[in-house]
Amino acid sequence: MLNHKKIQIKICLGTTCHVLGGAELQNLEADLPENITHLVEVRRSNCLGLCKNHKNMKAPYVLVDEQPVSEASVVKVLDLLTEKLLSQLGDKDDSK
Amino acid sequence: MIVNNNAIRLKRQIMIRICELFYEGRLTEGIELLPYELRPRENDSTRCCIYFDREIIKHRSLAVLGRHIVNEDRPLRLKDEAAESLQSDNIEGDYSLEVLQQACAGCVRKRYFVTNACRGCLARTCMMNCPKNAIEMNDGKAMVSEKKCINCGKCLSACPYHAIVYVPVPCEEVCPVGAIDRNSQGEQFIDPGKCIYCGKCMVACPFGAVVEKSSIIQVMKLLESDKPIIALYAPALVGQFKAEPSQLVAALGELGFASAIPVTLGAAKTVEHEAQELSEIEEGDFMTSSCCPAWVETVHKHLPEFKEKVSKTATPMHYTAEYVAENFDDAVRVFISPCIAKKHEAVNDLFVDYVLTFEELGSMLVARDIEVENCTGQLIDNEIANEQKFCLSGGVAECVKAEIVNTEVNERIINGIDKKTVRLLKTMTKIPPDENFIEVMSCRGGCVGGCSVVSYDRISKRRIQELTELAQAETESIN
Repeated sequence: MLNHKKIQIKICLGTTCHVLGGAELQNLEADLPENITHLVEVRRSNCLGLCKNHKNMKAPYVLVDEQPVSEASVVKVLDLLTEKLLSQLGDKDDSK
Repeated sequence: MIVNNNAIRLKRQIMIRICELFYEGRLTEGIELLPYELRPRENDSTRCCIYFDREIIKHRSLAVLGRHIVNEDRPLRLKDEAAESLQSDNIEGDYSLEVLQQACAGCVRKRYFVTNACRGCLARTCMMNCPKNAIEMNDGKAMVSEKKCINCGKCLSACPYHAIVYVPVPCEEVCPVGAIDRNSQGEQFIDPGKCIYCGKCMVACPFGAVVEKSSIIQVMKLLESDKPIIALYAPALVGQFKAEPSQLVAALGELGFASAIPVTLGAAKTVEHEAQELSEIEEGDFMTSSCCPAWVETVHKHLPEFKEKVSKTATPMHYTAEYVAENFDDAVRVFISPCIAKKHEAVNDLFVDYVLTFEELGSMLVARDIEVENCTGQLIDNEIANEQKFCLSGGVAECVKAEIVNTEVNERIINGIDKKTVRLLKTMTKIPPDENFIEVMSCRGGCVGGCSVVSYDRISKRRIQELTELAQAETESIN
């Protein structure tokens, strides 16, 4: 039984992220594979302030355990999430 | 309705950048750099090369500036066009949807195509079922001869490996009225005599080749002037952002609008008149709604037999604009719209001066760094009117039903105009429907599924239903 903290996913609901396609990310929970939903916590947040860096063009942003995903799509977020979950599993094996 | 694909993103990026340049006071100086900013050398190109990408971006910028796009071989001076736009009170030409030939990938005519999943099987069911002998064997695999193929689709159904696919021309596939087609010069062309301005081709084109003109420059100029500019916002706006209606109104205020009037105001009048009209029609007769301009255009250009059946009641936009014109002297009236069709309706409406789509509004908000969720609205009038439902399929019928007296309403809801529904409606001219009220909305789901929205229709719909229920609960608790 994994005792690790749930992976925190924060979807930015800021206006910039929203206008540049963030609305698609609203369905993220529905697209999470069933076997990992208990390992992930999806939250929404007001503007994360990430859009200021690149002149708005890399929005929408999603944070996966504080790591930003730019030009985020459900697929990109799931990719990073999978990477993080796998590395968590890797840590557990090492500690044995 | 998909809000996130790269064609739509690019369009919005260009719009946002142009708004930013305008707000910085450097539109003419900065616009020539725009293609380079969006496609810097180190990035990958979307098409054959960075240079082609940049060229197309220049053309797209023209449409955002409200200028004619250039399909002929002549030089394009963005700086000059920007200067012209800044001096004009209106867009150049009209609001017709056009195909930007540079961007059009010239999709191969719709066809049936054998993929390499074909196993060159013994059964040859494809060949055996083809009524025109259009399938030949080539190097052990089946191949469809385009010359002989009549697009019947039998081969697709027959193949046991599903190796045969139907490859559509997306814009033609989605156009309900056959308005977009290849012309004699071999170019994709939108026939203005057939186009109903529904915007479906614009959303469907995977290359973003269908462009619309914006009057965003004109509206931004006015907002900076001393004139009072009043926003008339469509009911669908309320579901677009995760914010209270009062916050939306506050955001509009921050953009410079003197005030924001919900179009549900005019919708109440539409309901009143439409219910009256419906109660006066003869037994056995039927009437259709008139608030969707793409529907009205469909009737005008393709279903003339329906003309008499369309309600004579004006649209909520019209009544609201009329009210504002009568009560706010000298104000400029800007309708905030979920779609392009309203731009056309507004051209012929005395009371509406400009139309801004949700996409255009969103771009302005982003350019000004206005966070709708952080705006604080005045809490006085958070009341959501019943007519909020107008932007949801079935909502207009519901409101009319609730209003009408002494008449039973038997409604038929046409949720989205597509090729199938146009054929269905054509039959109704010969065989009248059993129902007496037909509500027609061009966009699936209603206006929340409009071609220029910034939020998923399912989410907007849920949001609006939440707000309506909350408002109803509040009214009930007060009573």
